Amino acid sequence: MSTITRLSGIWRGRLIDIQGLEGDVELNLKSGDNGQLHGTFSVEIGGHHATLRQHGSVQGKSTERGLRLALVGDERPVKIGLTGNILQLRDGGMGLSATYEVSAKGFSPLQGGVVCASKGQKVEVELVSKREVSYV
Amino acid sequence: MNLSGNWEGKLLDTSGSAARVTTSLKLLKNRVTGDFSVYFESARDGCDFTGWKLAQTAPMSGTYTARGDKLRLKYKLEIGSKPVDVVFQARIINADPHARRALVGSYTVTDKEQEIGFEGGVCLLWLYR
Repeated sequence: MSTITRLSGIWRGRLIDIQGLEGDVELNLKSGDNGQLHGTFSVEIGGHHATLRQHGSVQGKSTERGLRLALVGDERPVKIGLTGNILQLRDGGMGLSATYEVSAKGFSPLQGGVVCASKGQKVEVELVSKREVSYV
Repeated sequence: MNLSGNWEGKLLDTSGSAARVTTSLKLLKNRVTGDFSVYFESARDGCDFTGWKLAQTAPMSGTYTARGDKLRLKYKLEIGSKPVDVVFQARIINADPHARRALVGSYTVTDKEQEIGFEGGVCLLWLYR
């Protein structure tokens, strides 16, 4: 299976923003021709008083070592540029370690930061963190 | 941009692990030295988070490139029986108003057979003062 084909699927993980926010990230990627990627994303940042939810579309491409994606929000005029490396995990899954930058025409709680995600792991460790968030 | 100071933040590993990290950096020309500490979550009491437990403090060294504010740090993690080389590559960016600056980047580990099970991931550190 080619690398670009293996990038297809649902990636789940966490983000940390430079403004101190943490949350869950989900990327649903589909591969196209010539290394192109497209799909959808969702971000959920839990807080004690409010939860920020953001979702939208993804366009991008695979690079030599990883991928480069542009995430555009459905509701907010926000564009997130994400650049990441792909890691082969020991249990057969794949990992993504990435940094992101934000360009927004208006207010955006996200300003830039890091994203760590995985897909295809035998143990769905990311589900544990999701459960922890729901307790907040 | 001045790197020197006490940074604190968190790492997220692609294995699903997370850790609190702190580092004190000193910059002399383009050389960076300092200490790096890793804290793991001590325990959970039901739903409540009970704090971080220091796992290791060790020296680290690296280089800083002013062009693009890029930082490359090498660190030896010695929590298990076998030391693990960690390379952290980051950019320094303005984190106002949360903090003065942030170090945003990813790290790789040389030996994936170590006991703590780190696979590589991301790290974000803040400089508050």
